Amino acid sequence: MAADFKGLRAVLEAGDFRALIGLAEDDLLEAKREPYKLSEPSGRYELAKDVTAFANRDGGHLLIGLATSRLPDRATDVVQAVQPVNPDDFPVSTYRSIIKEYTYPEISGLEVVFVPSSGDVSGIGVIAVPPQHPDAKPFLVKNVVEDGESLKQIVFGYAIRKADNADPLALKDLQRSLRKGQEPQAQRLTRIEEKLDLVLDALSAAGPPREIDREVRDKRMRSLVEVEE
Amino acid sequence: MSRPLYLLAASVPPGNRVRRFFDTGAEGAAFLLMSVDRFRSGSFDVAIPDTPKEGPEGSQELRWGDRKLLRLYQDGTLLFRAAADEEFLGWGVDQRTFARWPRLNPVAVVEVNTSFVHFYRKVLLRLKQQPDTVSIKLSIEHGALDQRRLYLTRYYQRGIQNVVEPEQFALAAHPPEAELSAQPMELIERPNRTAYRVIREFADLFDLPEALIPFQHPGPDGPEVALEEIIALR
Repeated sequence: MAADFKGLRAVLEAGDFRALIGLAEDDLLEAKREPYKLSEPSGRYELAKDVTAFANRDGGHLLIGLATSRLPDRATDVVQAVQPVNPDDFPVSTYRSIIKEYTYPEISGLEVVFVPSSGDVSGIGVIAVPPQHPDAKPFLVKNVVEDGESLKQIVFGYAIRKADNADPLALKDLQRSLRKGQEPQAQRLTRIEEKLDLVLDALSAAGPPREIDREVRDKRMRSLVEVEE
Repeated sequence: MSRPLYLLAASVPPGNRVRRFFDTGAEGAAFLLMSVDRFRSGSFDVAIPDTPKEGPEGSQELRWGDRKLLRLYQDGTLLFRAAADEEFLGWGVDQRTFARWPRLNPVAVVEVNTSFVHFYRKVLLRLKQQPDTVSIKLSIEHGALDQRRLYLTRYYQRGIQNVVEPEQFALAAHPPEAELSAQPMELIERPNRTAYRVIREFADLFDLPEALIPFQHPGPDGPEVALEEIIALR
């Protein structure tokens, strides 16, 4: 069962969290058992990364106080149980100020609320990131942390939601994306392509049937093993 | 310790090209890579929800961390790489459990190979010329964790956690790779047949008896992947 933004909202407003059980983590939902460790730089970075990842895609909800498990027949985690957190462990104003401090530009309509279970003080921490206007994207993380240390040489980070993950973009990929936006390369290559087609047509009309070039293919396959992760 | 990887390659004889490869619109390779059909929610497929970037030799490439990579070359070669551990092909357990029992998930194995073939069907339809043949090669890299080889078991509908000591079919082939040829028309008209043949080659790497390959049904030219059974999984 996948979550949709409005449906999830209705469940949260009703306070009956049992309806969340069975929901699959996806583009719109991230479930966390424990609150972020906001006293540590890595915890603050994780929070900013997860929030901007939703903002850079189509929005979504981060719910804190839900245990997940893996189903063997589906490539995603699903909510297995509600494990409400104490309101002191989800300080709403601290969450808000850290998101504001660590992200750029400001995320429009962001909501951080603590929703108590019906008849209990404990509940679920909710961070709702509405879909953002395309002109406001990309949303960036201002302080990047790796292995618990701030990376001084990186001025910002960029993450985007991919199904059930918030993946940060490596610096070189980010640079490549920025460069791509500046060059009319695609148009030039399309014109070259048309000329190349004429040459290929002439070659294929002349020659006998060809064999698979296994050497080239195997070399390319080997290159996959060495791809930087 | 290097993580186990599963590699797939589909290629055609040289001299061919994907039409309008560099087009930035709906006709281009980048858009094609973003149009992998997904059989169901939470499927184990070759889809990567991102925008392709330029890869080696002018290829277009999508990456999902170290979980999945999909790369298309101008000459029609399609490569796919997946983590063959708890991150993808061995889905369903945590890292520590997988390190001890490196079992590949039968649903993931069948579904990802089927997804690859179905997507290559789309690539074939975009080639400048219809090729005489299509070659599909599969390979497993780093197929052992410490001394424990990756293995397959039969598929248990009610979950393997209910099974005591299931029979293991450990990776046996040296080198762990296989190749098959397919007629383009078979791949275009009966992709589930081609997918089944790829899966059979995969099973052979583990000496898994053909009868234990899940999600199969008879077809006019031999067994095919029973895609509707996979789609029905919840």
